[in-house]
Amino acid sequence: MTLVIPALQRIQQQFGFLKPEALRQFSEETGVPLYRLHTVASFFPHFQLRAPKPVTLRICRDMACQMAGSGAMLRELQGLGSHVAVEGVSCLGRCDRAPAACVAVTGAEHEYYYMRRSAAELKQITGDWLRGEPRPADYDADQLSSPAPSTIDPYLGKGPAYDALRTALALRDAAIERAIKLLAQRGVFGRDELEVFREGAVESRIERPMRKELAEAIHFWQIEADWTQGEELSGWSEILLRELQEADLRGMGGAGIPATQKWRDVRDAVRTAFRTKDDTRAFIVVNGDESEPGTFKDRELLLRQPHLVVEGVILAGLVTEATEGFIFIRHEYPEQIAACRAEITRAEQMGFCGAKASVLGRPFPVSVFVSPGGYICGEQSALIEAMSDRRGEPRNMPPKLETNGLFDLPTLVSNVETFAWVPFILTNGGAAYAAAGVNGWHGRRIFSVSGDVHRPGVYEVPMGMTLRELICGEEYCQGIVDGRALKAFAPSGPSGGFLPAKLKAGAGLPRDHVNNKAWQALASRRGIDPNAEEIDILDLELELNLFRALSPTQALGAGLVVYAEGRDMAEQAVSSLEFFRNESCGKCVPCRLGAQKIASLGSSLVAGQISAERWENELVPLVSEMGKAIEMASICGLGRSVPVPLRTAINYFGDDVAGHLSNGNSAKPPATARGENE
Amino acid sequence: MAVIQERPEGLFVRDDDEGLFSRDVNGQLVRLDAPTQADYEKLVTLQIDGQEVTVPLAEPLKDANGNAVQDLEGRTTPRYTTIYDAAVKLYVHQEGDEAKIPIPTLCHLPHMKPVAVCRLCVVQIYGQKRGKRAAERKLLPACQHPVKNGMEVFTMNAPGPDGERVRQSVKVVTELLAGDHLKPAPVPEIARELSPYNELALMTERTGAVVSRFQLDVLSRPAPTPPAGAGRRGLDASSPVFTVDHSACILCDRCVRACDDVMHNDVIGRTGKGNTAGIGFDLNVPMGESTCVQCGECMVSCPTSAITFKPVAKVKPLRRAGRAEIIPATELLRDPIFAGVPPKFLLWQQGLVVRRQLRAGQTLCRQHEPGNTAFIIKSGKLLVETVLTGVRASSGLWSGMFGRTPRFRAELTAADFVAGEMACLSGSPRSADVTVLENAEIWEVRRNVLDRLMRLPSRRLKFESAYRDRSLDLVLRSSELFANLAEDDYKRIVDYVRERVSFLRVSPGQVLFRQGELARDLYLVRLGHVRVGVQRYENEVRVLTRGPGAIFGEIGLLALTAKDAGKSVPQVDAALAAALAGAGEDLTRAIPTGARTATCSALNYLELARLGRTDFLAMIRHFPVLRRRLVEQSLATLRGNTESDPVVAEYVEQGLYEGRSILVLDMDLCTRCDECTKGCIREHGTESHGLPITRLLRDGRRFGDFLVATSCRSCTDPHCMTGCPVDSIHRGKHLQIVIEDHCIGCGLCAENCPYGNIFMVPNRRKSMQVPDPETPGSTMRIAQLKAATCDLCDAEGNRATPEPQCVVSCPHEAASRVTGPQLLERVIKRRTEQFRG
Repeated sequence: MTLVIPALQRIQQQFGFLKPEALRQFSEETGVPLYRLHTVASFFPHFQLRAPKPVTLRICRDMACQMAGSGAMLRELQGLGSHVAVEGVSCLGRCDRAPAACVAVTGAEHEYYYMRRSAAELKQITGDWLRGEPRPADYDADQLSSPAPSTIDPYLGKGPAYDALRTALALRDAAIERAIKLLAQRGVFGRDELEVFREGAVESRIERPMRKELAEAIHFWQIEADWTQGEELSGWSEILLRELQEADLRGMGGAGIPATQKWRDVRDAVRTAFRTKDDTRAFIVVNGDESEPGTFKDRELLLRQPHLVVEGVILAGLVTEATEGFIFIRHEYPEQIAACRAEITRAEQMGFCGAKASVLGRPFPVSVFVSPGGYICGEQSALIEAMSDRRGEPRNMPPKLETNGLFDLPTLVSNVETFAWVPFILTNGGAAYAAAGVNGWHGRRIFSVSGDVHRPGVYEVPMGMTLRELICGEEYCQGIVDGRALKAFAPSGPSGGFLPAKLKAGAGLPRDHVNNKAWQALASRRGIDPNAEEIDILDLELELNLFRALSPTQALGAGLVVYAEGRDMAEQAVSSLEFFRNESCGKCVPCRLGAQKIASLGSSLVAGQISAERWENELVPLVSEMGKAIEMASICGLGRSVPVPLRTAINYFGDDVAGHLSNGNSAKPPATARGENE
Repeated sequence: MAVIQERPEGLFVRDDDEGLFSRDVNGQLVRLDAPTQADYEKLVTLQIDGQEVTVPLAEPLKDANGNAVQDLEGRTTPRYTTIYDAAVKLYVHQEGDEAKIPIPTLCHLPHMKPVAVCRLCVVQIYGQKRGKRAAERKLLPACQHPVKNGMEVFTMNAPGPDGERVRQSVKVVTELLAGDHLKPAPVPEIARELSPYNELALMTERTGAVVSRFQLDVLSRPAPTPPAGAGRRGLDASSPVFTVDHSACILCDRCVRACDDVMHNDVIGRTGKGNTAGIGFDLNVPMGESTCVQCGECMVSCPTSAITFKPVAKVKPLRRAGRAEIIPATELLRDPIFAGVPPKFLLWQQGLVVRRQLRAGQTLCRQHEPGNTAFIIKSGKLLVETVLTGVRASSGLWSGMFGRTPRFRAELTAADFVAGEMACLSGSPRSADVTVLENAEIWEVRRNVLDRLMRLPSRRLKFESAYRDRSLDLVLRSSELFANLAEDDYKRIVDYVRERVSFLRVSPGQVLFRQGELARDLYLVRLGHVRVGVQRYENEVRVLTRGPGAIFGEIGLLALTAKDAGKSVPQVDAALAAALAGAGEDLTRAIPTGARTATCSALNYLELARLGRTDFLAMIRHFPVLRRRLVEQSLATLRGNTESDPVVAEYVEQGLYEGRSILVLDMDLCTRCDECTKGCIREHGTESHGLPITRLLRDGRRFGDFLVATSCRSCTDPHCMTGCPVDSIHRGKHLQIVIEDHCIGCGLCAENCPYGNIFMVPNRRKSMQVPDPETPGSTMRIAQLKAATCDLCDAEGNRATPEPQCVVSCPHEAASRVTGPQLLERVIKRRTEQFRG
């Protein structure tokens, strides 16, 4: 089980950093080799290998924060004295209140976050901390980030929640009652034995000695979907899965895998294990790593509706017959970690989870796993590696996590929001959720919007609503700042690249778009000429399948970033390239070296070191070839995203790129060289 | 403006990592369980570049020496067959075919767990999706991806867009690697030697990569500085033996796996993250400051110039008949025998292979002399002659009259490949005289070279078939059970056993069988020692050791128990004979399956011959003389089991059983005058550093009235000789341990010696320049270390019998050198005397 990461966290807590003497002592006591400690400790940004300065100020340098001038702030704040370190940091998940900064104080339990602060204010704040005068943070809880109506919580104003779980348990218990009645009629078992059956039916492991027939009856109940009389008896979980299927609930992390499929896969893997293996453990893991720049919706769910997440985990455990649940949360979310822990305690008191979950009828511990940090941990197999005491490096897949996940056992990993929708669906019915979409699409989804909009924030919208309504609607973002026009739209943080305001034939729209079915359907719904050569991106409907069909980067994530006219998209792209370079885990060669090469090219571009002729004839073909190899040969999705920002900048914002070329056709002076070490 | 094409060929969409072969026909996700023995029988047919190939679903896991990993029952460990394995089957039919495999690899080595990080072995895979032929959305690593039925694989050799995609990716990845990390080794003269064998350089030739393509200034801005303490270091020259140039490291993880998985030294791991990730020693300290034992496995595994060697002292050819000439590594590398041995290994230690031209009549080696080399026969003919001390000639009259002893003879030529390998591999003395019949060219190789050759499957086969036959003879001949048999009987027994016996190697601590288990096999000890423990009511009441030549496991096979201890030998033998005679075909029913009367485990590395129960019973039916001897041995053992002896337990616990020359001081006579230590210093000098350098400490544990001094015991199976990276430790003339001057001071032998009898001392003849930790930037001169141990004051073997100064100098006749059994006998004898007196 996990041993190394908790030990590292303990040592860091005790000494303020990973004191080598303490590591050596731990190694001697436990026999864990030194290299195993270092290889894990040096991978995660949370761990300090050397004694840090008393106060460290970290400023986010990604997307919205970069747009809000965090780069200039970082330069301005360099040299705050010998006791304060100032560093750039990857997205802190507060893009709606950019720029975001974080203050780490040696010996403090967690970091403190400050949003929308000027350089002068941050200087003041770090100075106060250094003098030992705590400065209250800008807490997430004090900020209303979800101004639009939200329907995800079916319990608003309706009591203490967990109704969906109660319904599911009632379904299960009724099925058990029917089974007991049936067994009683057959007269095979006595009253006491039927009581044992009642308990055994819900327990993942039956350890007491019992009659072979009884053990078999329990076993069949647990693993055979058509036990004696079909789903009326043991197929109760099928009823729940059908609701999810009817809802057409999809993974909200971005890949859009149908939730039902994952749940079924895990349940089948658990049942196979029941038949063949000694180890019948299985795990539910909530992916709350949320480190993609521009994405912060899970922050709100974990903070304000943790009961939905906890209930979703328990329901997933119930249906898949998993034995333990984890909520994996990035360490930059201390309030959310506290909220989830409090909610877990509440659920334990209600008997729904824990080592002795009386209402659930079997043990099902749920706990929070605090991420040791890094964007790559959001990659689900890297997340599992980090939970297994190893470097958070993605696995070569298959096998998939549903069969070979945590500790090589069946594991369901899904996004926070995916779990959070489950109570709604099981309370109101799958059909109700599906019907909540518009323009023929199914369901609702939560987006985080940041950048040049009047009201950045977290918005729950019907699937299929147009981008225009989200960006310009009064209920939502209320338009682009200063009434400027839309210049670019990032559909999935940095990994979906940057899309232009108009997708044109040959530049954004798929080849032969007029014969594309998705295009034709969209055109007829939106009243667009089906033979049109371009489409306003605001007319696209927010739905993953539509973006897959019509958007050049085929991505629609949860973090949407809006760029107004006047933004330099070349600079934005270069910032994204640096993000990927900084967050690459370094496991496989194409991503480790390629991301650095592309980031280096970007820096050279915005530093004005490249001539138009060289760019056009030498560098673009070269980087295009390299990009293809990185996409094709990398292990995980991060590698596949590495070339995207630059490619979209070149393809759709050629003028911005040209503006940086030393003898290009634009008169714009080259931007200042970007600090490589930020 | 230039535009980059989106959606390459319209094939690839962003999706999850499911892959085409994740589900079964019912659409259920297939769990990847550990493969089983049954998977060896399941066949999988796939296509590689249009050619069909059928392979088993699983292959046996091999260790670093190319041996299939086996448990005590002889079961192998299955691992899933990969696409790369299938390609090996398709393309490799003889030595040298490896180059034809159209899948290049840098991070993969056959004996290591695939990590699939270099991405040079990527291939395009096609399979079925919803009943239609479909392509995997990305290229996948052949070294790691298991084979599946119906899989179509396209490599860089494939024509068309699939092959083109692979070629492009492989070329670009090589260019990225070479652009950043292709560098000469830091030491110029070594760089010259190594440069033709840099695997990254060879890869650029193979893939047509242009190294400079990604070296453009605009692509080469420095990466961000990693957090303090993490990430790739620069040039590290802190180790006395190796140089680590982290900037040449491609992070293939070969050294990581070599150190942690192959050698279990657990020193190297990855450090840092992303572009600045690297390899690190322990807590990312310089190699020379880490817990590294400098075994060299990482250096030999490293495909680039990231880990290279420093010059080592030249090896002196051993004195022996025939003109000796050191064969340069460059010549060895051209010879097919050495194809596949890592070039870095041969270049590191030039002089480990010596060419000897011998004339007819010359003697290569003699029986009973120590030998740590083997002889590869390149041409000519050799005569191998063994004096069979234990065998009685059948024509007893003649032998009695002329004093002739029977001999075992064999003639060997180049077809037999090798001679003298037994002593080399086992550390035991030569078992035969080897003389030259026809002028011969012999390549004399050191033990570590032989170890390396053994890692190559084709060459290992040659060794093992030769070794097996000769080894069996040695086992039987050195065994009491077969001593003094008529030669005809002996031959018939050997022929019988040869067909039926299997050999196995056992690691220290491994349990062969436990008391109470059913007896299935007879074991013959070829090398090493077995611990036999008898338990009664949860207490271990008796401990025995069994060394080379011993036979054990017979009591259980004969179904004898402690109750039989009181019976007489003829009584038991007669009953056994009657049962066997009346048994008919099915022998196993004649005698019930017995239970083990003791627990047997390996005390050190064991080599055993094993005979199954049925074959054993047939053997004692055919050869009544063996039956009688086994009954005698069994009853004697069973009688002994009834009493426990703390002295024997202590003897085992202190490891004295394996001592061949233990320095003991009789504490009744010793006055603690320390003349023994002074004598040792007088003999070996204080060297040039003014330090008294002794090879003994007058301190240690007591055994009876004797002090077992801390000084080399010349073990029967020396722990120290295991794994010496430069083969500088071996036996001298008197079978004592001698450490040659080309020792690199790595300390591995000192660490391996369980009795602390090897001392690390400054080497007078070698010193080196190292960075001065006190004043950064400057260097200081330090003496390189060298291992030293007791050589019985006769390293060169000039004396007929050794005269160790520790014994000679003792004015009180308290010091003596004895074998383990001699010591045990003395202690027991003295105890008996004291008891009587």
